[in-house]
Amino acid sequence: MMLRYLALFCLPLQLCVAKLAVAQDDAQNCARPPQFATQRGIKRSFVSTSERFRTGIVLFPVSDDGKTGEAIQLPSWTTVGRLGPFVTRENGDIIVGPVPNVNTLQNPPERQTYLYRIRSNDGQLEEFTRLPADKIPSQNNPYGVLGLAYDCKLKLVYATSVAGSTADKENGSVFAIRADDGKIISEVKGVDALGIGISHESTGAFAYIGSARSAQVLRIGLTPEGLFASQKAEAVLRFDPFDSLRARKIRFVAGRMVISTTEFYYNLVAQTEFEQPTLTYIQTASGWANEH
Amino acid sequence: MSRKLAFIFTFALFAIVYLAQAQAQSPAAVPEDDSRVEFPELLDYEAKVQASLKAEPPVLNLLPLTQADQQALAVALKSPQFTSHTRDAQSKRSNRNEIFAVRPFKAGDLPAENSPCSSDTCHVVEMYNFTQHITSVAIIDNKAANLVAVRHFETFQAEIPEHLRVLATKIAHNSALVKKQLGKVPGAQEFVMAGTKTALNRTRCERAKHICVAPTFVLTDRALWTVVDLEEGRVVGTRFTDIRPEGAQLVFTEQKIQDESITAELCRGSKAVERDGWAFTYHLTSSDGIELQNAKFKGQDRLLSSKNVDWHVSYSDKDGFGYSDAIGCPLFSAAAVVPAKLPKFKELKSADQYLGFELHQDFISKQWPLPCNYYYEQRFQFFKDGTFRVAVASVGRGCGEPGIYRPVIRVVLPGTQHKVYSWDGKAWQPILKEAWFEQNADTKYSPEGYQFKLETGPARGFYIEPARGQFNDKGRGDNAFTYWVRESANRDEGLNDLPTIGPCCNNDFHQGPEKFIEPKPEALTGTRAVLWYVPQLTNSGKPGDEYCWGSTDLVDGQVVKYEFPCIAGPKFIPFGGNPSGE
Repeated sequence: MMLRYLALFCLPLQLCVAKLAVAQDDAQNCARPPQFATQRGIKRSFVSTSERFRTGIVLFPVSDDGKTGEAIQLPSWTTVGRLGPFVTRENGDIIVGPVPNVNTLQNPPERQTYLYRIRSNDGQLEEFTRLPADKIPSQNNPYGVLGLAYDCKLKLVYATSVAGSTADKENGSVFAIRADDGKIISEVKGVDALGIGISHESTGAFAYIGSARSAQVLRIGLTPEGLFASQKAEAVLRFDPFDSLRARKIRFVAGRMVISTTEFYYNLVAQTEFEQPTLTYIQTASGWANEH
Repeated sequence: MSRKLAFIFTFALFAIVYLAQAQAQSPAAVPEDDSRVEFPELLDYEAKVQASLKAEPPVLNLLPLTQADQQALAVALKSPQFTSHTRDAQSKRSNRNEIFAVRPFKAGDLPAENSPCSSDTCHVVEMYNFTQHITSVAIIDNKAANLVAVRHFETFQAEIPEHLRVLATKIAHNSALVKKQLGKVPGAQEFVMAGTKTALNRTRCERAKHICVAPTFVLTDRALWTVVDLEEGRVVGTRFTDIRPEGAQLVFTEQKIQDESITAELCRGSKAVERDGWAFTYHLTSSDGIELQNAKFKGQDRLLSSKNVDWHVSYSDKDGFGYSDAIGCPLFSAAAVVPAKLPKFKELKSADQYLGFELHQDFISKQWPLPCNYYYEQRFQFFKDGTFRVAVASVGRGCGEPGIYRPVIRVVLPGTQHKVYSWDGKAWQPILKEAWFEQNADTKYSPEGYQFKLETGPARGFYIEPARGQFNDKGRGDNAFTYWVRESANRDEGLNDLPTIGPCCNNDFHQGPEKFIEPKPEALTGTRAVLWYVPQLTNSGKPGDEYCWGSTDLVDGQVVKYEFPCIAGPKFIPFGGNPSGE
């Protein structure tokens, strides 16, 4: 409930509120512990980008009886500022994006479109790829990367970025990136989105994205190779009668779409906890319906 | 539990279009000022609310009730479970509570497998706690005269009863802002919501956290949303919107109206002011607060630019714990604390004597004064003698005490060939190179109380008087770091909007402006000198000694907020060349 207490534990956009469990969603259930952790005798662990006194990313061992151990943070994990969304691959690589927290002191605008990889074998953080943007983030919109998803089947990382968007123009993009080498293989321009989730359905695969400008979820069809089949995102559902909330995270769990929400105004105001409900939808013949 | 509850976060599939579209297509939002219009029905209702606070339990009921309803309500009000939130848990003072509905039980109010109820046997009682924003719902078995179930929904608002709908419409009907917007006084019956039977649109007051509804006045091709705060009995703001035939109804809330208005008025444009011989412009930056520019007094230049670049907050309970906050525009900005309202002009007085006026802008976290929420102020003070003060204030509350607030203020005075001096206890000594100074117990002041002098030309310029508690504003002194920096034509050292320039928690002069001096200070002669000023303000939450602090108390069922600002900033006293412009 308390604004900064929350900000201390989670970044303003709450991109990291659910610390990584092994399974993320139907298309993303292949995550495996990083090798550098298992080499240290750590069987189970989770990572977090939202620790109060720690910049960057942190790994917490979990003992057999479920107790969280002392945080592990390699030096390179603190070098690129505050971090936000992350995904873990089947080989234990962690792909993570930067998100400024309260201020831009550690997150210079020009680096908010970078993605980083923590190598599974030795835990070193390195640059993974740079997302192109017509304009870099600025004082008028300090954000770049806001959402990440990983598709195990396609071995693709999907990313959303609002870099360069202004009040008057939606300049964001959604990217499909080859996980092995960081090569960007597909892009949809002109869409500002926060959360992203991949769903394989009977009619094909889709990237579901949470609009950064309205309380709705959109989707973009994917080709069998995971490329975007269209340059236009279609509206799927609206979820807030007051149009204040945004879908910061979209997961698919047991056939349900789970939307974690936040308020988002393209500023650095930390958001409050009770205004961030999690919503669950089930797919019906006529579309997605609120489970409740 | 209760299907009739229309909770704020019931996520119906409303048709909503982008805010950006709304901004582009509809006239600007207009926020109301703090005034309200009192009329007999409002005063009568508020008198009943006050009377209910003295009742036991402190619950107001204005609903017409059947005998069965009355019986259910009586059982509910005797239940300690149902009334558990009607008083403050610690002080036991009355919260403001009102019965919003008493109705027969419906299937679905309880899970069927566990329900001993039917519409013949049970009633549902819904009560809203205005103070804590809790909806309490009780299921009453009327035949057995006992409580079957109770639930409390925090931060949810139940559907308001008919008498509050009528009252909201009358508040809109009596509003001066509505009259101004429509060009006439509308009849209360003229507020309708197109396509529905209700006169009210749903809305919310995100910042006030109050129950708000939106009586809507429909014109031929557009409608005027009027957001009414039922807890304060006033209009929060209005917003014209196009009427969309296919149900794509826009939704406007307190925050949307406020943010739209501030963006349009201050972030996309600037304001010009002429008052008491003073003339200046101001606008709201992305992350440097209000920037005031080109201030003149009776035609003479006084101030080229001033803004509040950062607020550094440091807590000593853990090294390195704190925040660097920027203040600025509410949308599309790098601000961490944003304004909820447009700036105000306030008169400056000493006893009954008018001294001048102040341009006053608040920046406030939504949940202030809850811990770890922040409230900052900028106060540009213009005196009728031609002097002026660039002041800022923190109203806490922050994450605890002791905490030190360090606002980073940038000031550019007129002229291009400055000479800067500091007082050494006997005379003014020139400052020849970029440098920083700390105001402390050893600081020397001229007999008039000045620490620095800046000459803009021969025998003319400004004296600079730091706060030492002499300004009769309860300030306890600035203890400021002052940095004199050569203005550079090649580097942007604050001419444009700056990102956060310093970390939260340095306790020495490393507050950000030193980076414009180090590593090799440049000569200050023959150039414009930019003044950076960083007061150091230690908070206190000790009762009776509050400073940089905010607190609350429960008074007559309402949460009253108390402000204890710590005001800081230097005063500028022009000299030479008819300093008063006379």
